Amino acid sequence: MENKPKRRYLPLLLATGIPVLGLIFIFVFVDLEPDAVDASGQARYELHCANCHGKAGEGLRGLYPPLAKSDYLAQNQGNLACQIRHGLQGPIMVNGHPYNMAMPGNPNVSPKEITAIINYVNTSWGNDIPTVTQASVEKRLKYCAGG
Amino acid sequence: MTGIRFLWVALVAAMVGWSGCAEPQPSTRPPQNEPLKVLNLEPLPEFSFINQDSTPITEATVAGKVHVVDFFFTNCPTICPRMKANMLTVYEEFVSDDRVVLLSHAIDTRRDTVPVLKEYSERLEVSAPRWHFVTGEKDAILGIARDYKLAANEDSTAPGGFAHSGALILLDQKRDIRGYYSGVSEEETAEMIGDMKKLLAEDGE
Repeated sequence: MENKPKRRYLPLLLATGIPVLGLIFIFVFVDLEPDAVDASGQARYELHCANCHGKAGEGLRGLYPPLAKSDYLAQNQGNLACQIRHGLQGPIMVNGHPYNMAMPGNPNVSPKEITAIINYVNTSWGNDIPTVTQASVEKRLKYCAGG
Repeated sequence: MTGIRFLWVALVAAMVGWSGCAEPQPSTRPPQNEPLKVLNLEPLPEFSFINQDSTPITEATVAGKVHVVDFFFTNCPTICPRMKANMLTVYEEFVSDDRVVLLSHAIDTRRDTVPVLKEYSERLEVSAPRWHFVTGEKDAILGIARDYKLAANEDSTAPGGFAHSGALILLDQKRDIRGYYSGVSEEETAEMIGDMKKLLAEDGE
């Protein structure tokens, strides 16, 4: 008889607790998805990069270099994280064409987001470059020149 | 039970609220078939700028031309590249039509000198007299933006140091404003090209 009032709250506890735990589980699970399949890469790319480099990585004539089938992209994989974070100044050659517009940095983009962007670019529009891990991006970001 | 019900109602309401934020904005533009109204209440003032070839550009340059006006700066990291990609579509459409002029005003007048604008236009593979990139006194450039009823300001908090409207403005042969279009929208740019053809047809009547 004394336990009865307590038991009345048990279904309530379960009914609220299970959905809440479920939501927590979903958030944790999503966070643990491997870097290579992070579907936010496209959205991040279109937010931070596509204005200049184009939705399909096509670039804009002699102003902004392409990222699709770009020899520069393939040859500078180790510099990409720092270039996305801190920008890029000075002339570069891409597929035999000179480019010289300053690229602004993105100081507020996280290592996770940078990883998603790089992996989206590396695997889109005919690009077939190996994906990178967030751990390797974080390591690169520690040793950016001037950063 | 009321506690549980409240929790779910709150949860569902929050989710509906979130998705509501992502709804696309309805277009504010008038229907396609209506004739284009004159939007300015008084005539636009005269101006005097200089283009990428050091050629003086004044109201005489655009007299009798259907022309498109916009504001940008070469170091702009946000909306300008998309505006320029859309202006490029307009340029290609009318590249050999002497009745059309594009007029892009550089608002970062300190950085965007004549040689900088020359290099920018060459990299974009476009040229005067179809597309003029003009610079001048800062107050004159920002002043004419206000005359076109567009926002363009120096703003140290904005990316690149300037805040400005992404609009393309369509003016007719008499220098009356006939339309404002979003320079970052491919759809509105296509609509403007259609409206430019309407104005050119008016000329032939």
